[in-house]
Amino acid sequence: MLLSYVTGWSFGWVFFAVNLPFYLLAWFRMGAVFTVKTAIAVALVSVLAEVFPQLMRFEALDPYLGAVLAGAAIGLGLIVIFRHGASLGGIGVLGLWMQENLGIQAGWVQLGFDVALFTAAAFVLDWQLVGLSLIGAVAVNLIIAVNHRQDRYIGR
Amino acid sequence: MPQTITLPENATTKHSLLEDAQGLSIGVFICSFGLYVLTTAGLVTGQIAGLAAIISYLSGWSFGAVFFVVNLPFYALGYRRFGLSFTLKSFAAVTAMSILTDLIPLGLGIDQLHPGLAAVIFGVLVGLGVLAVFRHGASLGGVGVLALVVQDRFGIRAGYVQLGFDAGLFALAVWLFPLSIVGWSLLGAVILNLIIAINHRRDRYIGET
Repeated sequence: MLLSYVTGWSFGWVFFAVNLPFYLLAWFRMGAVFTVKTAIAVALVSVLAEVFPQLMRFEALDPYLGAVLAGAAIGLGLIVIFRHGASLGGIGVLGLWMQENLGIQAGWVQLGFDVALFTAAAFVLDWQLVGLSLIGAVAVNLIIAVNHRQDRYIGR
Repeated sequence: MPQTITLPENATTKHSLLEDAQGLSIGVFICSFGLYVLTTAGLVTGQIAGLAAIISYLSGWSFGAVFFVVNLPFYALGYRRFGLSFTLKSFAAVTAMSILTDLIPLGLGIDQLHPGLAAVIFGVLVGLGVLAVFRHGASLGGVGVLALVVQDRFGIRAGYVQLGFDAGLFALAVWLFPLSIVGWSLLGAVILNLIIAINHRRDRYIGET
């Protein structure tokens, strides 16, 4: 999304391209089934992100509400995807691999990456918007860290 | 809560108070947004929320207020069958959702919304939200309580019980609203109930308090 803002390319395509290197990690460490499911999930998110604006438009959106809403929706969505043996690529692959092999929870891995990313983003974008985005990212990863635990129901 | 749950070995299903609080908050928040999308598109649904939406459309009263009031009689059933903790949590969840569905429009305006997309967003969000609420030992309305009673007593999945109640409400909706509205509404209700029926199973993770 940061690349999309900076370059002006559409989010859907940038999202698809940035994910490609992480498939190597997925393929060699998480297996073929996980990788194929992840590829399908990423492709669907790319398509849906383009389709949604044509069927739905907001006239007003409070940025705090937007951040929390996105955080809650994406947090729940990612837990569902994780529990069905896939990810949305990228850091999620790394996070899941670390959760399963090193015992570090995926939620905290992703949160660490996001904090670093937003520190960088604060130099490029309006820091207030970045702060709001951080609220959303904290919500996403808190939900995942608290609820997606190796000793609970993780699916298989 | 019954104790006959088969889970993977070493699975921890006990939820702390804080875990229940976050699970219920997220579930209620997501459901509130789903219901805001539903009512914005003028769609209906089943269960107490559907009854409240229909009453709200006909009377002009806010959905939140109607939803809160219609739920009141069901707490007695919830208390008798599931005890104080469940009833208090359900009361808190219903009250929070009543307030949130009336507050969200203040921060989020939708000026264009395809009813088909509204139905899908509603079904998915409320399906996930209700799963979270169920797994943290509460319910978002009377029919949910009734469905959980039937699931625990007779082994009929809660999702299918709710589908039966929904059928009755939709018969009413066919009388009152245009057929296209009812059709899209049906899609949303089917998605919602399939999500619960497929994912909330006694032999999977259901959570304990």
